[in-house]
Amino acid sequence: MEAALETTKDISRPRLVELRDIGKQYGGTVPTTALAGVNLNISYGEFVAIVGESGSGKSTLLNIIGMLDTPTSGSYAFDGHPTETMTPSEIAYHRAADIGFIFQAFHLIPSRSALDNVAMAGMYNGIPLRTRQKHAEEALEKLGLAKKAAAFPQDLSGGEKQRVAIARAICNNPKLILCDEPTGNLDSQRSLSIMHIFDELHTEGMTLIMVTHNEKQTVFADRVVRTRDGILSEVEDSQV
Amino acid sequence: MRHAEKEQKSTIRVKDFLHEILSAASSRPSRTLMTIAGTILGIATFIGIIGFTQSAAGQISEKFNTLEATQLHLTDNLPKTSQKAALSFPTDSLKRITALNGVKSASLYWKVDSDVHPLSISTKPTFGSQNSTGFAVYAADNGLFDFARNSMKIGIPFNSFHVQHQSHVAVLGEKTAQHLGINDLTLPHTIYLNSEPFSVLGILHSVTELPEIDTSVVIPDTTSLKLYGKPTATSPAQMMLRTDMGAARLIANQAPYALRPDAPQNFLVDAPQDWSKATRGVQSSLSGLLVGLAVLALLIGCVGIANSTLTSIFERIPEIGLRRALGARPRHILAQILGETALLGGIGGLIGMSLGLAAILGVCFVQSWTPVIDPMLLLLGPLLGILTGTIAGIYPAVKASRISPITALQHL
Ligand SMILES: Nc1ncnc2c1ncn2[C@@H]1O[C@H](COP(=O)(O)OP(=O)(O)O)[C@@H](O)[C@H]1O
Ligand SMILES: [Mg+2]
Repeated sequence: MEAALETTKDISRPRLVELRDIGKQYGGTVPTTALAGVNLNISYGEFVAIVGESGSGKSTLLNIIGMLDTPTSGSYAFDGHPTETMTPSEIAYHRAADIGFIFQAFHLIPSRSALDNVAMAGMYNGIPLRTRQKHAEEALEKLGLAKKAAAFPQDLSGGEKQRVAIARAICNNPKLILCDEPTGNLDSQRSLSIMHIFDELHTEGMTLIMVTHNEKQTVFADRVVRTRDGILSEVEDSQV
Repeated sequence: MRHAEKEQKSTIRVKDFLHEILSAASSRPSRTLMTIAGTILGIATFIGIIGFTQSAAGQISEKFNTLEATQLHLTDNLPKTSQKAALSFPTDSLKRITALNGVKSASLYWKVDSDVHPLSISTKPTFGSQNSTGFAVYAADNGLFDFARNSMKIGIPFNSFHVQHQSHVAVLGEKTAQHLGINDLTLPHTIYLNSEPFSVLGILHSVTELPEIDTSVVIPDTTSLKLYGKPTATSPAQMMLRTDMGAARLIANQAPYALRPDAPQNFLVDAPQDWSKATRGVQSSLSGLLVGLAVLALLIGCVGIANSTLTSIFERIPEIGLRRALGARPRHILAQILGETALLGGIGGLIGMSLGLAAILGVCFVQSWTPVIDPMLLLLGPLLGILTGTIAGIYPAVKASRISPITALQHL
C-alpha cells in the first residue's frame, strides 16, 4: 500500500515539515534500508507522535527531520526551504535556531550547572552569553526548576534532568521540538508529568514530534504515525 | 525585513568561545593539573636551564667586563721583516697619554732584544757578551710604578728625575733579586749589565699585567735608549693603559692620535673585547643542548596533554553529539578541543615558568650570583606551553570533529 500521508487536521496552517519519498539506506557488509518512500507533512502547531517497533526507523526519521542526518533519496523542505540546497552552515544554523532536541539519555554535560546546560542553546547561532543566560533562567523558571539553576546534573533526579533538557530545547524559542523516546528512562509517574509539559507546550502553539513506544502517550498527540520496516503509515483512529 | 535578511550561518561569538574553553578547563581543576603536569615539568626545566645559563654567563661576563673595560694595550707597529730598530712612541708619550680624559695610568716599556744586545746580569762586571739565560732586561718609564701600584716589595721605584737624566738605576724582579742573592737594601747594591753598573733602588712584587717582570731587571727607558738603542721588531715598544670604568674602548680610539697625530697607524691597539662576544661563546655552545631540551620538554608535555585529551574525548562523545545538535559544525568542535588544549598548555607554561624562575632565583641565591633573566623568558614559557598544547590537541581535535553526531547521541 502506498503511503500517502499528506492530510493534516488543519490545512489552513502553513507547513513546517514536508518529506517527499524519503529513503535512507545504510551501507556496510549488510546494507540496511532504514526508511523507504516516506511522505509526511507536518504543519505549524501540530503534535505528532511516531510509534513503531525497535529498529523500525523512528530515530532515523527524527534525525532526518532534525537535519542531523541526510536522506539517501527523496526531498525534504523545512519551513518551505528545500534542505538539499542548503549549505552545511545553513543546516547547522537551522539546528541551532529553529529546532530543539530532547533525548532519552537527556545529554546534559555533567561538569556544567543546570543553568549553564540550558544556556548552551543558541550558542552556535551567535546569541550572546548574557541573552542566553537570561533565556535559560526564564525557561528553568517555567519548568519549575528556578531553585535548581546552580545544581549539577549528578544532583538532579531523572525527571529533573529531563526537565532541564526540555528547558534547553525551548529556551531558544525554536519552531520545532523533536523528542526521541523522552520518557524512556523515567518511571510512569515522571513520564506522565513530562507528557503534561509537552501538552502545555502544544497548547501554547509549539510544534512537537515525539518518538515513543508507549502507546498510552499517543493520547496527547494530534496525530500518530507508525513505522514498520522503514515504511510509514498513519494511525487513523488515534484517540484525542 | 532586515531581520529576515540576516545571514543564516552557524557561528559562535569569540567571547562565548573563550567562555566555553575556560569552563572546560576550570570545571575539573585536579584533572586539569594532571593533564598539564608534564608540560609544567618540561617548561620548568627548560626555563630553569635557560635562566641558569644566562645567569652563569652573566657571572663570566661580569668578570670580563670589569677587566677588559679598564685596560688596553698599544704596540709599536714595526714591520716584522725590518731589521732596523725603531720607536714610534714620542719621548713625551706618557705625558700625552695621561693627558687624555679617562686615563688613570700608563706605562711605556719594551724588552731589550737579547739577540742584538746579549746582556749578562751579575753583581760583578763581566766583559764577555754572554746572556743570562732565563733573565731579561726591560726598559720602562716611571709610569710603570704608577701602573703597578703597591708593587714594590722593598726599596723605591725610579722616578721622572731618573728617566730625565738617563740614570744608571735599576729595579729588580723578585726572582732576579733572589738569583742575584739580593734580599736586603739597607746597604746599597750595585748590579752590572755586562760592564755597565746600575744602582739597585728596589725590588718588585710580581706584576699581574706583566708577569715577565719577575725574572727581569727594569731600567729607565731613556737609559736603555742611550746604551742599547731603539727597540727592535722582535720585541717592540708597548704601552699599557689603565682607564676609568668603561672608558677603555673610547681611549683605544683616541690614543694613537694623541701619541702621533701624523701617524696613528703606527700603533696596534689591543682594544677590549665587546663583553657580549665572550658570553656568546658560552651561550652558543649550550644552545644546541637547549634546543634538544626544548624539544624534549615539548614532547613530554605534548604526550601528556594528547593522551589525557584523547581519554576525555571518549568520555565526552555525548557532549560532542549534543553540541552538533545545538548547531555546532565540525570546525567548531575542532576549535573547541584545540582551544582547550592550547589553554591547558598555556596554563602549564605559566606554572612551569614560575617554578623555573623560582629555581633560578634559588640557585643564584645559593651561589650568590646576580640573576640574569631575559624578559623574553617571561613570554617564552606561556608561548611554549600554548604551542605544546596546540600541537597536542591536533590529533584529538580532528578525531573529535569527525565523530558523527548521530552515533555520538546514541552513545549513553
Ligand atoms: N549508523 C547506522 N549504520 C547502519 N545501520 C543503522 C545505523 N543506524 C541505524 N541503523 C539501522 O537502521 C534501522 C533503523 O534504526 P533506528 O532508526 O535507530 O530505529 P528505531 O529508532 O526505530 O529503533 C535499524 O535496522 C538499525 O539497525
Ligand atoms: Mg531509536
